Amino acid sequence: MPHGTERGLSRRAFVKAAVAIGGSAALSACLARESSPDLPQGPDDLSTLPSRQHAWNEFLALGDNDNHLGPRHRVLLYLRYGEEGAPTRDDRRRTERALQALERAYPHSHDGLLFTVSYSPAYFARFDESLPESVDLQQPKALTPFEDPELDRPDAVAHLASDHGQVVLGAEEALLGDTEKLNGVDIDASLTGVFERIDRRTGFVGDGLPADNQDVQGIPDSEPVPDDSPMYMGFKSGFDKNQATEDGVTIDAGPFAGGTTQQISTIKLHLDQWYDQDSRSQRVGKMFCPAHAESGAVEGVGDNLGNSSRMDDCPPAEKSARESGLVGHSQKAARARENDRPIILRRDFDSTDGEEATLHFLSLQQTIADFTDTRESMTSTDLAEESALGRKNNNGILQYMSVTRRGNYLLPPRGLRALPAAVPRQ
Amino acid sequence: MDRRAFLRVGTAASAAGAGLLAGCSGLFSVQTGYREQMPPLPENRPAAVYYPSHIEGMEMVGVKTIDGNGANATSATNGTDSDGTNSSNGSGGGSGTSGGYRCALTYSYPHRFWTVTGTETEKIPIEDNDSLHLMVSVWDPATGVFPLDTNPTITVSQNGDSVTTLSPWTMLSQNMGFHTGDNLSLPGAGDYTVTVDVPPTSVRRTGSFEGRFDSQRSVEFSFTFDPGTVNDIMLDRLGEKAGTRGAVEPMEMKKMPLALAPKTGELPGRPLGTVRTGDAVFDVRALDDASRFGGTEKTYLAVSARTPHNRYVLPAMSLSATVTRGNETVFDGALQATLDPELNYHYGAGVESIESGDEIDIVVDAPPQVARHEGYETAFLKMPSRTLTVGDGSGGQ
Repeated sequence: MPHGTERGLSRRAFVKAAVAIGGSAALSACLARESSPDLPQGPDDLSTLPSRQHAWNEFLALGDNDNHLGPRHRVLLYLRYGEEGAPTRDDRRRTERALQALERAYPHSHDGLLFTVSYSPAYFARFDESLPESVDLQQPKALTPFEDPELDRPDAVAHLASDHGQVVLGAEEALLGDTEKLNGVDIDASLTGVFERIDRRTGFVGDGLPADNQDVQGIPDSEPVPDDSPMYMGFKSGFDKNQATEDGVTIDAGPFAGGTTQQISTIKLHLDQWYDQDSRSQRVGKMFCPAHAESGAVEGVGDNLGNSSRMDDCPPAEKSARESGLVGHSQKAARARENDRPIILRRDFDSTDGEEATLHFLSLQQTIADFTDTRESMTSTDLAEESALGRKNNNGILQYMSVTRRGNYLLPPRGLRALPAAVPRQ
Repeated sequence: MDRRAFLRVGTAASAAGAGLLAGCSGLFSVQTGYREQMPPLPENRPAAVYYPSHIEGMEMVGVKTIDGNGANATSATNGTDSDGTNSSNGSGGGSGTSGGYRCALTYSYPHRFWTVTGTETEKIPIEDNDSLHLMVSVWDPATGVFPLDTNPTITVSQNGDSVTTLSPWTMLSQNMGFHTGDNLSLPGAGDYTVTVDVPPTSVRRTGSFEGRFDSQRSVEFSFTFDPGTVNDIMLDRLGEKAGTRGAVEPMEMKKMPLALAPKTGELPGRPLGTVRTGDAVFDVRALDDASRFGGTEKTYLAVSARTPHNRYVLPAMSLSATVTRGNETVFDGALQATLDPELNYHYGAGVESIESGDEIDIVVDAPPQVARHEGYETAFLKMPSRTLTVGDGSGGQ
């Protein structure tokens, strides 16, 4: 996180710092500093909003090659429900009113505010009935033999996202009951008295932001992150063809049809070796595949690749592992597909939380099993057993990251987003 | 990172009223000068193992035993041990160690090394602010065998604040053999805590190693970094010998074994021959009791790959083999990296039979994907396939 003084801080870095600090002081500072975005209010008729909370794609900016760009500023609010047992009808109503107030304040867009509310297995344990079989929401757990993450067990997580840092901060303030007006709209309800905020994680994604925020542990002092990189590791990710579709991750049956599951891992990045010791060719090989490294397929941060990481030009991961002694991260990810499409939809972002280079790896998938399958492909124990690959050495980018926290959540459809029952009445 | 870590340490110290200004004058120029001290690389290095420009000593932070059934170290030793005379393998830890690991944290001054991807090497030079070369070795206390491929992760912290985290490179050096290590920058002299997370190995295990090295373990060392001590570590220039074929002798240490392959005469099974490629030595064996290696085949074909001169295990290769009898292909497939108490780390596969007159092609699909200290970086890269014919003496069945 940039240190206190504003000197030398770019506007982008300042806004990011304010989001990281949070609170009304940060918001005031942000308002004073960032020219206030002149945004319209949200719709009066909220029935025009999509029934899926996670239906963000049509409201996101499009980058080169029509890749969807995630909102640039993020806050994750970890919330504990204040009561024992199942939630009350009053609390449910109040939560819904607080969320609707946000929707009235800002347009449903990257240029306004996008948000979701999701619930953990610990939350659903408050009910006598279990979740229906149409929902696969597993308890979070360690997924590789070399990680030991702290398991997050809040009741709920609110994910706030906007291209404007002050919109994210404003929405957070409104939810916490610290403001009565947001973008000219009366805030007549908040989560105060219903939920307690027990943790807060912040971050950013998009061209320029990682470079502006690279003065953290885990990144060398040489400021190696390219100015136009959307992520700390210096390459684009989330190419449209390398993402599941929103339809593909949507629960298609039962009372939670129209919802999805959400997985959030906190990953600490250790990029000293990546930037100081690995060559560009090694980085391309480890991120994409050795064939891309050899052919020079990746220019700069990878904008030239279009809307996919062009895994068709790479041999299968097994072949690279055996014959090149190296396998790329994308190449391993390509092993977890259905109908030639990945099975998780990444909405991840970088962070300076803890003053360490961090990735909040947030993914949506129809079932948590889809995530664990994908993660298993990345871990590649099978490839390491059968080839020259090490457990981490030359095994994609495993050498450069440690998973420190993980949580799993059900992200219900919009109609059930406020303290849903495990088996909602239809 | 160096600067930030220093600032954090400085902030903590200033609370105690320490006069930091003096220390700050050299704050951003902790020039260690190791790069300048380093003898130049020998000219005309052969594409083989060669004498490096110098021999370096090392210091030991400590050795700790990690229980098989727990996550924490149970014993510790400290002290210098770079010139011991006993060639003990560091085993015999007594009770409580079965199923566990023993882990050593050692260091030397920063030095150049080469990482390997495929058949390419990438030279890692000494950076201005490198403080030391930190190394971790992990082995089985009972046998002294290294579960190579463990890729530990190291977290260095000071007063509870993390200074850096990294997964050091797996590497080979002439006086130390297999270990993991990297050049590291520390914010200054002082006391540090080094936490080592040892992941389970992904190498297949057989015999009494089955089920071993199977879960993540963590061990913590206390480490006092004194640049003077690092400076005093032996640097012995080899003069005219440097750059000629050969290798410096392995270190002999009381507290730590070396990842040595078994002597050729001590390998189990029928000797089928020895081949050399890329200056590596492959001892090829057939074991006629293949039961502990799984599968339904009767015979087990094993390749024990080692460095010339020092007999260090050569891990992290993709090897495959074809066994031909007349016009018939008896076997054609990968040899899997395997840890076995008798064969140590080797590459093997079950085959129906191996008879006198059989031709065995051994193909290196990928050379050892481990970083190299000087003297190994030109060897074990271009490794053409080799063929041996099983002789009468070993044809057996």
